Amino acid sequence: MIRFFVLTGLIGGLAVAYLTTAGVGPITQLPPPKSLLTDFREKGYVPESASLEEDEAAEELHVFEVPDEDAIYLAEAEAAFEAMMGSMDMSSMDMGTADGATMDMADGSTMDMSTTEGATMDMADGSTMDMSTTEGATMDMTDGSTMDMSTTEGATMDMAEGSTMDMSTTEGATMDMAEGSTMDMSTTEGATMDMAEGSTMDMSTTDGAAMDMGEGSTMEMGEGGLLVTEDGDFDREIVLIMTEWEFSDMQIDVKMGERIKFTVKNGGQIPHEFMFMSPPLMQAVNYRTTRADWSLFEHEALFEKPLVLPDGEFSFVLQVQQPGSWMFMCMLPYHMQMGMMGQMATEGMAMDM
Amino acid sequence: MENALGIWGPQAIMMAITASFTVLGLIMLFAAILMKRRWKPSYAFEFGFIAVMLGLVWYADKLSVGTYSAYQQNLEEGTKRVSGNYDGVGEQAFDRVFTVIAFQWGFGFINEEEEVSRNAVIVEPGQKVLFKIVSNDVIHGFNIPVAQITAEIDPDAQREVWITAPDEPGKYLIQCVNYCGVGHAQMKAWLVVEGNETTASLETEGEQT
Amino acid sequence: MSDAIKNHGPGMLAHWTPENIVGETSIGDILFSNDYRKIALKGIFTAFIMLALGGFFALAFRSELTVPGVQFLGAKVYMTLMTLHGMVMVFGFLIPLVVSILYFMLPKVMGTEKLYWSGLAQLSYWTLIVAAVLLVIGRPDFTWTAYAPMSFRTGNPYLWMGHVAIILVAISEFLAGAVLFRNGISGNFKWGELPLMGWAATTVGLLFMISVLPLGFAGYGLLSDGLHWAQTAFFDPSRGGSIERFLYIFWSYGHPAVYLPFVPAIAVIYTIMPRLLGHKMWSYWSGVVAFILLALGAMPIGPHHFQPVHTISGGYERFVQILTMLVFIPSVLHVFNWISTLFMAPIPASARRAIPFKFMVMSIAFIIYGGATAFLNAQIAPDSDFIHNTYWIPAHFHAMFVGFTAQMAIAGFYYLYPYFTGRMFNQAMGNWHFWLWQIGLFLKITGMGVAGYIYFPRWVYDYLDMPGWMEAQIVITIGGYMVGAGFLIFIFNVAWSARWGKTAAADPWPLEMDDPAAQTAQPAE
Repeated sequence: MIRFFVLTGLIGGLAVAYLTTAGVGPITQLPPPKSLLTDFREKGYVPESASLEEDEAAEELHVFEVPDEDAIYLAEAEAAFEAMMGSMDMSSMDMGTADGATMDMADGSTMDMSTTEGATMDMADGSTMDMSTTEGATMDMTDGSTMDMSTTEGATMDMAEGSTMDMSTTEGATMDMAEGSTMDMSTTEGATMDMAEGSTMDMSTTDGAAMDMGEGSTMEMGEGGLLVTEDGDFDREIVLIMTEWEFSDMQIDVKMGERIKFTVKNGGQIPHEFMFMSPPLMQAVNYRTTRADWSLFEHEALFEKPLVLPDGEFSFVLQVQQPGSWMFMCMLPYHMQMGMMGQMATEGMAMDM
Repeated sequence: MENALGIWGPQAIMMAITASFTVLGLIMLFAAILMKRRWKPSYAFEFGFIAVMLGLVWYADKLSVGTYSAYQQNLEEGTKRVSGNYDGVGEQAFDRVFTVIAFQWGFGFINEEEEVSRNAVIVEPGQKVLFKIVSNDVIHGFNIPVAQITAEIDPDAQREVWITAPDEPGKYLIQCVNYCGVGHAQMKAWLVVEGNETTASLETEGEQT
Repeated sequence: MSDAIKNHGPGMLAHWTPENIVGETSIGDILFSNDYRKIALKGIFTAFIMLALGGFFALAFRSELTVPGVQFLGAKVYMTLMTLHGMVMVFGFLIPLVVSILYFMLPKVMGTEKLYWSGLAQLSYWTLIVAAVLLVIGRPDFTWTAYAPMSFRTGNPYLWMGHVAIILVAISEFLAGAVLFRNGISGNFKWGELPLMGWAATTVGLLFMISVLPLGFAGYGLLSDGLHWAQTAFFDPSRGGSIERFLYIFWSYGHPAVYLPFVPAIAVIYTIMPRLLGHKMWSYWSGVVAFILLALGAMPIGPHHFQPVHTISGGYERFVQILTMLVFIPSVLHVFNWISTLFMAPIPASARRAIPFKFMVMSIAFIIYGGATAFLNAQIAPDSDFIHNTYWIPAHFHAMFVGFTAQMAIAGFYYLYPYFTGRMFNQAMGNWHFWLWQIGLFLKITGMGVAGYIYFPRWVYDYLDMPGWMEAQIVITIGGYMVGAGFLIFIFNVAWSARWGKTAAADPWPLEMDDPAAQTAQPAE
C-alpha cells in the first residue's frame, strides 16, 4: 500500500509540479463589467467630472525619481538601438516618396548606405536631412558619392545635386541651401541656418518645399523626434480609445513632419495612463517592470499623461519630426504586458513587435 | 510621529500581557515535563485561572474600544469635537481631505481642487489628513506603515481613514494589502511629507541617498 | 494490559493487535474496500501526498521570496502556487488527515469496532479527489479565500473549475462530518462515559455539516457570477451584487474551518495522552465543556476576518471582538487540562522517548505560542494596525495549523503506525524529523511574526528593500527548508520501516516508568 502511494505521489507530483509552474498560462485579467466610479459619482463620493486635471505637485517635488541604474540600461539600449539602425539595410529605404522625410543622425551613429547594388537615397524635393548632432555623425552615401558628415558643431552640407561633399569641419558650418531643399540644422551649438526671424519651419511639405528662415530663429525639435503641444494646428485627427487591454488603434502610420491631433479617451472600466516612449527608453526600464518598486519610481517618457479615469479624455497635438518608430502604451502594472501597447511609426520604420 | 490609532500605550501593554501569559504557559508545560516534583491542580485553580482570563478579555475589550472610539470620533459628523488644536466637525476637522480611488493597480489621489495624482499624496508635517477611499473594481487594501493604520476597501462602499501626517519630512510607503490581481505586489504609493529636504525613507538599489 | 492502562479513562483503549494491513492490501482494496482501517489509511496516505505537493509549492515560492527582486517566479505562477498551497494544505492535507485518523480510531475507542456510514466516507474521499484534480487542471490563482469579485475575474480559461472544486470540497466535508457525527453518537454510553473522542466527533461533525453550507453557497455564487448565469450577480458589485454578502457567507465557513481540523486533533490528544502516561486525564468534564463551547462559538465570529472593512465602529463589531476573545477560553480549558494531566503524576520513561509523545508535547507548546497571537488578532485596534493582512496572520495560522494541528495529527499517525504495519518505525529518524520540525517551525513562525510586525504585506511575489524585510524572509525560508527536510525523512521512515522496521510487540506502547537501564531486576510496572 505504501509503495502504491509513494509511486502515485511521485507521478502525480511531477504532473502537478509541471502544470503549476511551466504549464501556467499567460497573465490575463478580466476587467470589471462596469467601473464602480459611475455609481460613486452619483453618490458624490468622487468628483463628477471624469477628466480631472493633473495634480502637478508630485512633478514639482520630484516625488518619483529615476533610479540610477536606469542610466546604465539606457546607455546599453541606445547603443544597441543605434547599432541596429546603423546596420539597417538602407537600400530599401526610399526617402523620396515620403514628402518631407527627415532623418535624424543621432550621436555617433553611422549610416552605411553601401550595398552591393546601388543604394539610393533619393533626396527628393522637399526632403530634409537633419544633421543635428552634438558630436560626430557620419553619413556615408554610396553610389558614387561620398559624404562625410562628421562634425562637432554645425554641419555643412551642400545639397548640390550629385556632388561629393566633405563635411568634416570642427566649427563654423556653412550651408548652401540649394533650391528646393530644406534642411534642419537645429543643434545645440552653432548651427547656422538662414532663417527669417520668428518663422517656423514646417516640415511636412509637398513638392518643392522652400525654407526661408531668418537669422537667429530657432526651430524646436521635440525630444526623441516628437513634438507635443497642448494645442495647435494639425493635419489629421486620431481618436484613440483605451480599453482593457488594448488601444483602438494598435498600429498608427505617420508621415514625417505630420501634425496629428490625438484625442485619447478611456473607454474602459479601469483608470489608465498614456505615454509615448522610444524603443531604447522602453528597453532601459525593462529590467524593473515587474518589480515591487515599479510604481514608486519614474520612468522617463517622451510624453506622459499619468492617470485617466474611466470615461475621461484628454487631447494634444503631436508633430513627427524625424523618421522612426515610437511606442505608446499604458505602463500601469501589467497593463502593458496584457496588451496595452501600440506602435506609431513612419514609413518603413515599423518594428516587429 | 503619531500613530493613527494613538495606540502605542495600550498596544504595548496588550502585547506585554499576551507575551507574559504565553511564557507562563510554556514554562508550565515544560515544568510538567522536566521537573521532578508533581502537582495536581484543583478545580478551584482552573476556575480561578479562567476568571483571570475573563478579566483579561474584559480589559482587552476596554482598551481596544477606548482606542478605536477615539479614532472614530473624528470620522463622525455630529457633535463630537476633535481634541487638540482642531475645531470643527466631520470633514472640517481635518486639514486635508483626499478622495482616493483604489484600482487595479494603483491609487489615484484627488485633492480638494479635484486634481488627481497617480500614486502620490502630498501633505505637510503634522496635518490631520482624511482619506475617503473607494474602489474602482475589486477589494483592495490601504496600509500606511508609518501611520500604523490598515483598512480594507470593500467595493460596495466608501471607506474613511484618517491619519496624522508624520512630523519628519520624507516619503513614506502606502501599500495595498489585499490580493487584487496580478499587479497587487506593485500597488504602492508615496505619502510625501513636505519639508526643507525631502529625504527618501526608502532605500533601493541604484539610489544613493 | 496493566491496570494502569485500563484505568485510562472513558472509552476503550485505542489498542489493536499490530497487523500488517498495509502489506496485505491490494490495489483493488485500496480503491474500493469499505473496511474502516483501509479507508482511513487511504485517507491518511493521500493526505501525505497532498502535504508533499503543498510543501513543494511552498518551497518554490519560499525560494523566490528569499531575496527581493523577481528571480524565477512571475506574478501569475507565484499566485497559482500560493493558491494551491493554501487549498491543498487545508482542504487536501489537514482536514482529511485528522478526519481519517478519527475514522481509524473511533470504532475502537467507541467500542463498536465498526465505522458506521463508511460508504459515505468513501464518497467523501472520492469527491475530494475529483476536487483536487479540478484544482490542478483549473490552476486558480485567486488565493485560497477566493475573494469576490477578483476570483471570477482572473482571466484563467478554466476558472470555473476552481469554483466547482470549492463546491465539491464542501460536499466532501459535509459527508465527512456526517460520518463523524454518526460515529460520535454510536455505542451505548451514559453521559459521563462518552469518550472525549466521541464528544469531539459529535460536536465537530455537526460543525462540519452546518459550516460547509455557506461554503457551498459561496462556491456556487462565484461560479454563477463568473459565468454570468443570473442577471443580478450575487457578489459582483458592478452587476448588482454585494461584496459584504460574500464576506459574511465565506467567513461563516472560513472561521469554523479552522476548528474542523483543530477539534479532531484535540480528540487525539485526549485519546493517546492517557494511554502513554498510564493514567486518566486531569478532568473529563472540562474537556466536554470545552468541546461544546467551541462548537457554539465557532460560527458567529467569522466577521473578525474582515473587520477592517468596516470603519472601526459599531456594536456588532464589538460583539464579534468580545466573542472572539471568549472563544479563546475553550482552548485554554483544553491546554490547562493537558498541562495538569502532565503535571499530576510521574511521566513514564516510555512516554518520554515515544515519538508521538514528543510531537504531542510540542504541539501543545505551539498552541500556546499561536494562541498568544490569536488573542491579539481579535482586538480591533491592533488588528487595524499591524495585524491585518500582513505576515502576522500567516504566522498565527501556521502556528495553529502546522505547529499544533499537523504535528498532533502526525503524532497520532506515529502512534497508529505499528498497528497497521506490524512494525515499529525507526526511532532515530523519528527524532531527526522531530527536531527539524520544531526548529524549522519555530524559525518560520517567528520570522513571519516579525515580518508582519514590520508591515510585510501578504500575497506579494516581490517586495521592497525595506529594512528587516529580507532578513525576515531569509529566516522563514530556512525554517521552511528544515520542515521540508524533516518531511522527507518522515516519508522515508514510513516507507522503509514498513518493510524493514523492527517487528512490533503485542503492545507497541508499553508503559515503563523507568528506562530499562535504570530498572532493578524486577521490571517496574
